[in-house]
Amino acid sequence: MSLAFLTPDVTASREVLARSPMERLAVDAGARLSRVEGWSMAKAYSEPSIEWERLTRTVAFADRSSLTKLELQAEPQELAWIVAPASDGGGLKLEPGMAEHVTGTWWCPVTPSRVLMLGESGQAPALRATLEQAAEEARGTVTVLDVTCGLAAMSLIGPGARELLARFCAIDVRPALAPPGAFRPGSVARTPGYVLVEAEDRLLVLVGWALGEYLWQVVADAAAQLGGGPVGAEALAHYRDRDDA
Amino acid sequence: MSFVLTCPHCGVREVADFAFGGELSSRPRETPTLRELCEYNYFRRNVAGVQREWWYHRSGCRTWFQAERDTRTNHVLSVWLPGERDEPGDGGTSAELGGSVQAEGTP
Amino acid sequence: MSRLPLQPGERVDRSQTLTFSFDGKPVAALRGDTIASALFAAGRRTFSRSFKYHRRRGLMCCAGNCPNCMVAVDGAPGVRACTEPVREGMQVEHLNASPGLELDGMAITDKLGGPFTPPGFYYKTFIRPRRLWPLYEWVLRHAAGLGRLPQRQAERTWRTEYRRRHTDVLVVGAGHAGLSAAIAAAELGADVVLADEGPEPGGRLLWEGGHAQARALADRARAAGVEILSSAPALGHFDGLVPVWQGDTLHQVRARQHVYATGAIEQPLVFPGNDLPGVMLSSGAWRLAALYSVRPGTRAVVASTSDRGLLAASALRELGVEVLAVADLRHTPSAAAQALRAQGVEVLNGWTIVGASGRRAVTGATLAPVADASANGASGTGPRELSCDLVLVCGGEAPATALLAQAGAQTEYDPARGHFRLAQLPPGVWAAGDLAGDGDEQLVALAGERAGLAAAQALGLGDERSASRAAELDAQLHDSTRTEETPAPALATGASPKGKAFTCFCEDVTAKDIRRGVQEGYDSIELCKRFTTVTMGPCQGRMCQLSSIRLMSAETGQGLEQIGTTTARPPWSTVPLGALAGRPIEPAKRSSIHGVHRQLGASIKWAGDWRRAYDYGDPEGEALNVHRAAGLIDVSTLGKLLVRGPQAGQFLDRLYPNRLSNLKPGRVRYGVLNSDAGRIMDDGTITRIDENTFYVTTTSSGAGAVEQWFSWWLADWKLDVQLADVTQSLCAVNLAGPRAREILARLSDADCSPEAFAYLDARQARVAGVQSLLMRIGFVGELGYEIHFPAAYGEDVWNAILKAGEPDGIRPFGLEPQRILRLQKQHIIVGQDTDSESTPFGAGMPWAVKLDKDEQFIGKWALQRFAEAPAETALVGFTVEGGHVPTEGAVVLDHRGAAAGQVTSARRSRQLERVIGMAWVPSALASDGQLITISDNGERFGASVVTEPFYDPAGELLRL
Repeated sequence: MSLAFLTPDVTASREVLARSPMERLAVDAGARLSRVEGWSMAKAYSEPSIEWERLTRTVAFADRSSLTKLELQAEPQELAWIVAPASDGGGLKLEPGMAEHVTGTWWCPVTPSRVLMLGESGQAPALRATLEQAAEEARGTVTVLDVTCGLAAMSLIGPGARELLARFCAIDVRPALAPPGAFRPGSVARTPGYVLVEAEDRLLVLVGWALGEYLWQVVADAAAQLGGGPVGAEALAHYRDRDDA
Repeated sequence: MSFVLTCPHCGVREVADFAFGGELSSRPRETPTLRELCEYNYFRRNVAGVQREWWYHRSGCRTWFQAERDTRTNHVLSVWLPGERDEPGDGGTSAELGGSVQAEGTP
Repeated sequence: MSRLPLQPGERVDRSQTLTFSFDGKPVAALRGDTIASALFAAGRRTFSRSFKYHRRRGLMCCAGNCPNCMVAVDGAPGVRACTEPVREGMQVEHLNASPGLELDGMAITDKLGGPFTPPGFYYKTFIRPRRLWPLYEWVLRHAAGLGRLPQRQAERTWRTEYRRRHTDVLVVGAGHAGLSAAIAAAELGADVVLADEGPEPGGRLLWEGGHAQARALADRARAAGVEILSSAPALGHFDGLVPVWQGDTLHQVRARQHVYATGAIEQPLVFPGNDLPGVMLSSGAWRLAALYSVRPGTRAVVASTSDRGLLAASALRELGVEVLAVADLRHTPSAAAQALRAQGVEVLNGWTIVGASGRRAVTGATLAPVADASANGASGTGPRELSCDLVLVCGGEAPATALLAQAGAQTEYDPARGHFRLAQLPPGVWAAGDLAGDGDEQLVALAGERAGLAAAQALGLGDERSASRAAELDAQLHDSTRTEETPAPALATGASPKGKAFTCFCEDVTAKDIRRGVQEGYDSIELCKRFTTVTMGPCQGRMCQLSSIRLMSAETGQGLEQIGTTTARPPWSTVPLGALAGRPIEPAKRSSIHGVHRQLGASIKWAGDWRRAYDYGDPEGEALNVHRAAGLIDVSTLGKLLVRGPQAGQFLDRLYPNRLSNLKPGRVRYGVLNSDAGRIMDDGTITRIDENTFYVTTTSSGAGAVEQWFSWWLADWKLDVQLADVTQSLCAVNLAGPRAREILARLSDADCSPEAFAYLDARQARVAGVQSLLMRIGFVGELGYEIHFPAAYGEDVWNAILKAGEPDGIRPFGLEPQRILRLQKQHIIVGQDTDSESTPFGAGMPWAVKLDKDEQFIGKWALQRFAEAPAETALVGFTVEGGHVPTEGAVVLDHRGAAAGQVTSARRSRQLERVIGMAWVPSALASDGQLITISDNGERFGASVVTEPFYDPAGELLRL
């Protein structure tokens, strides 16, 4: 037997869909859903102009629970060695507090012996395979776990992103202390979580999967006070393309 | 209570992020007498002053660590990971069960 | 609406009028008015009726300190009219008077007074007969109070926002000192938040003629990046976290350095009639005139113990208030006194006020020389009565040290000024301005700047220039003498005081009440406070702490330094409870299948921190269906841990009292976790996935605790083991019942034959196309499969199983039917059937403890002792004749009728057609057929003990 029962296997079946724990609230908020790589995803909620306004003028939030999330556990010296082949030859510092974005994946050190990897769902199988291969060859005990369904994820985007986080989280993410890449395990909305500063105006918040609906409620409630609201995958992709350009 | 603690991995966080694990005590190394067993299980020093204690970063990196805190002011003097400050002979990967839940100095 | 001519610093905008209602009648106001300034301008003098005696109370402090102007705004009580800005259309109502403010029936208590209302009256009088207490309570609650909350709040009309604000420096108080501190720190690069109670920064500069300077300072602060929070009182100092309440937002400010510049609070004087409308603090009258252009009165008598009162008198005189006489407690005329005299005002040095009179408002005041005064400058030696409509009082100032005291500052009595001054500050906390007794305006600004520099320097900011500036400021502050003498007011002399002299306006505590408290033996300030309730009202001691200490000193003969102050406690400012309640969204865990349960009409209830489906409308029928066909229950809430590593088996052997290292891959074993005291902590299953990997389930409520427990021992033992909590990653469902095998076989690629997949086997297979872990376990007592799979597929897999099982009559079942089913098997629920004293031996599970195993394990020493000495009580099953279902917690009686145990679970079982339960009973009764008596809410009935499972005692069905 193996730990395959932890992995959402997107090739499994056309009968079943992987769904975010926020899906029902997203639908209530007007989400239009579609199937993307085995996941049911919210493509859009409102008129593009409204979502664009949220992203650029007030604050937007987006369900990103379908991100692939892997957890790697090993002794600190082993860790660096294992991640090397999967991270473009390595050189990752893996020091708690700062994550690094390499080959489309965020490498987030939780402790010196535990790393959380966040990537788009399409990259999952390749990343997992590379890591498992390296783990096989490692000397000490290594665990590669798929925690995709362990953590619900939400992006807070826009000029009000940090202010929105401050409405439900006590972690200090002032720009001077939390530049892009800052990774902060800690309480989010009174529940265990992580905050990753993806960019100056983009925060990724993760909490337990079963708290996904709750996180949506909290974020939606706070965002409404700031004039913000949800955005779908389309607007988000458009926004990130512009960002990258 | 709203003081802050410094997690050895994550840095400063509100105390509500953490679970309190009680003062450091030592588990008997061999079969204890009834009195020793009861003292170990039920008796605490409960000092008014600086105390060494266990904390768990429950909402964060989920690491147990140890701290020195003044119970009168909640001022945390220092934090460290278990083993980092153990006296020689304590801690380590002893195959024996007893002994290493220990860091509080012997009299 | 009469107003003074345009005042240079006035806050009202005369071009914009607003209308609001007071007790249903329209009132005109100017934009910028407070409710109080508009009402006063419209001629109102009585603003409230007092707490106990229902006396008329008028404006006194005009700064949100005293309780006199509390009103209800749009239904919310406890709003101070003197600081609440007028909004168009707001509905303001008086509190605590019936039928109305002008005619209040309860004012009779003031006339009867004396014998009926001293402190402690209700404790002593209403204690007997005890059975009447509910009636007394009802009457008392309606007689006193500060307004009434609406009984129902159909729709929450206001909400609170919570905002965490991290900053380098928090400055509390935006007077001259606070602004100077904020500017100094911010200009050195610190992130600064400045919080202030007032609607605009500037403090007393705003009414003392420095409004232009105040505005310039505020502009400079903003330019330096200071975030200024106005109308935002700080509520407390909690280990460095300062909540600041601003309208509908609670800012939780966490700063690295704190500067307090909270100023000083002008104190009233204690004399008969000191609460009459028209008796005002000198600064209150000044504020009313300077900020709102409202004349507080026409003919004023002034009584002061310091220059503050004299300066106010002078300023009001310029605004056209006739000052009849000034009683200055100090014997030597100060410069301010001489200046007043030069203007032709009579200043009586060595005099004070001994009484005020009037019915609806003050109409006269009596001044008298203090004892032994050689009445310098007084024109007579006897008391003088003056006819007036305004009495200005100033009993010196009390530094507003409460927040600092909460931060750990010490205070000491300063005899030269008659108040408690700061003595010692905790690290990282600075004080400046009137709070620190910094004296005149110039020094206040310098001290503020110095505090701001200090805070910045403590953060490692600043350079040589700022260091030399700090040194320069130190020198200047050191050289200046700051000792204006403001003696503690002597209590009125000579004349025997007639009428009530209040020390506490909130709770109607008089000077006499304090004396009586001391005479009854409550002679420490903390006891006296609790007995008389002085300082316990909405002003939180702002108006009464100093005077009550002075009264105690006079009565006990102790010095004020001996008496000391009461402990400063939050909240320092009035705050609605709703502001502290948090965002009204509970952190609820929900299974990924939750939405389907709701669609299926499940009743959803809390189970620990999860929302769970209790039943789908027919719990007994759902249970029965598991026996007859098949049922499906969502058990995703189970705790799930992965334990990996070469020493994983050894690790589990140390944690559990049975052997797990010899478990074969693909097999499941039950385990009960014990503390080192041998008490049951949790239970669950352990499945071996492969040589190095174990999958451990825990109870739903115990998941977090077990993860902590495991990682705690691991942190200490440092074995080569890795832990991962995958509770939320996986959905889990239990498919159970005689038809379960057929249903599973239809959906799964696993070989479901009894030979290939036996009881307590675990298999990896696809279910509805999804990779799953399957375990054959039988919590509910029928053939059953627990299926664990990635949470994202929860809905779809659940629906697929229900669909596949349709021909077999499958139905979902909830938590409640599961409780019936497991009770039939006497499977315990930890925490329901066990408590912190339960041992595996008492709970009937000696088989779960292997004392003969070689390894040490947690709880072994204690369990060895329990094994040797028989348990006093045991957990057994019972059945009840007659169909009565005992309440959980009902008492089990022994043969003598004494309590000897309790019922932990009881249900009616339709399958067994009787009432069954589990209970702790004395060991002597713990054998089959023993009769026990259960006492349930006064009713007694018999039950008989059953030690084996009620249903399928041999466990054959599980193994089919």
